Amino acid sequence: MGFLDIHTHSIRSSGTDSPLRMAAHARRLGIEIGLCDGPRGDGAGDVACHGTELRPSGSRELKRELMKRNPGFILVRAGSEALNRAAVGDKRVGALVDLGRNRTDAAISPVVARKAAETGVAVEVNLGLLASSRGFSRIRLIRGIKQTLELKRKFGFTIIAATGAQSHLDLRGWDTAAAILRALGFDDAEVDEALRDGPRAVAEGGQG
Amino acid sequence: MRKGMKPSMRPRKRYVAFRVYCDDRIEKEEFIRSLWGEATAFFGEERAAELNLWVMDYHPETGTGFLVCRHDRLEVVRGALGLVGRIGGRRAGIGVLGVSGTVKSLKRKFLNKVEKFKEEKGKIDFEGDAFNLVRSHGEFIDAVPERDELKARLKEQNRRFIGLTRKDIGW
Repeated sequence: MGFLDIHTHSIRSSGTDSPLRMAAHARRLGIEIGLCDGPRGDGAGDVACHGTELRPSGSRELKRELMKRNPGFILVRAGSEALNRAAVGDKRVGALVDLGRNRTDAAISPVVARKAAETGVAVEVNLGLLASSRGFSRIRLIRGIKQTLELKRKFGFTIIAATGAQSHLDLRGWDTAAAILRALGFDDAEVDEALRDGPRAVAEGGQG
Repeated sequence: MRKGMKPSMRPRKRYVAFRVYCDDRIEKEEFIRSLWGEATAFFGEERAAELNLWVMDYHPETGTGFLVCRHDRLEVVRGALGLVGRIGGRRAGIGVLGVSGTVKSLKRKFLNKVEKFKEEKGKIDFEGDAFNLVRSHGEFIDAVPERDELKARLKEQNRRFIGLTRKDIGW
């Protein structure tokens, strides 16, 4: 079994391709995808799993969002330190995603890292964000990923890699994603966990 | 008479077949500039110089081609290809179709069955929205939406078409 990219969007949420187009392109790349289209994503066939991406502005809004019906696994877009702590402190959340988007911190703090290790909430490395960034913003992202990897080795939480794809153009195959992760300092076991085992655990947690 | 180098003494190479996915036609020069840009920006000039990277063939009408690199630097080349997210300011992605040790087997295995773009015309309906067909390639359909919200989303993401499949529209 190969790369499971659990952070992708179709036209039913913020993407620009149909769910079938995303799934067919993923098959050509030899990977599987999970669409984060929320309640509108129900019923879209051909994908490995479905989930919801929550984009709360703060920890209070996150609590309110978690009370609603969120089909499948739940991903939470990272933001302030308080929001990140609230997200990794709740076992309903599968992963904290999009670190470094919208000028937010590209790395998690040691407190968030320790909490994530305790609750089993994963932290995402967004390869799509890395590919679309340039210059200093990419340097900031790389620094954040390296800091998060150091914290993972210290505290033992799970890092997952995903593309945050909004179209088939953003999807990447296993070999390509693994090459980028290795260049960032991941060893072989960490690459396997980030691309295969970690995402599967998040997807299965959401189904349970 | 001077003899050529023995095959066992020649530097080993890998040939990589790739396909550029983009809503627009991408010319060879634009692709090469983006690939070298990513290789030097992410891995540094010193490591990029070791790649012996050369784009040997590229067809802008299908976006397919192949390049050659040092066999022990294949991973770096894959990484550089994966980091290309924009070409000439347009959103793009590059898929590796396959890797081989010879051009002959690379062409036979990976570059023989590439679908060409076919122009399409007409109106279609997908999940209650109307779209104008633009082109198809294999099972894939590219279309322009009529709804303003979807047009704005495409503009925001630097794209021109909504991606559908034949199955989506019942073809």
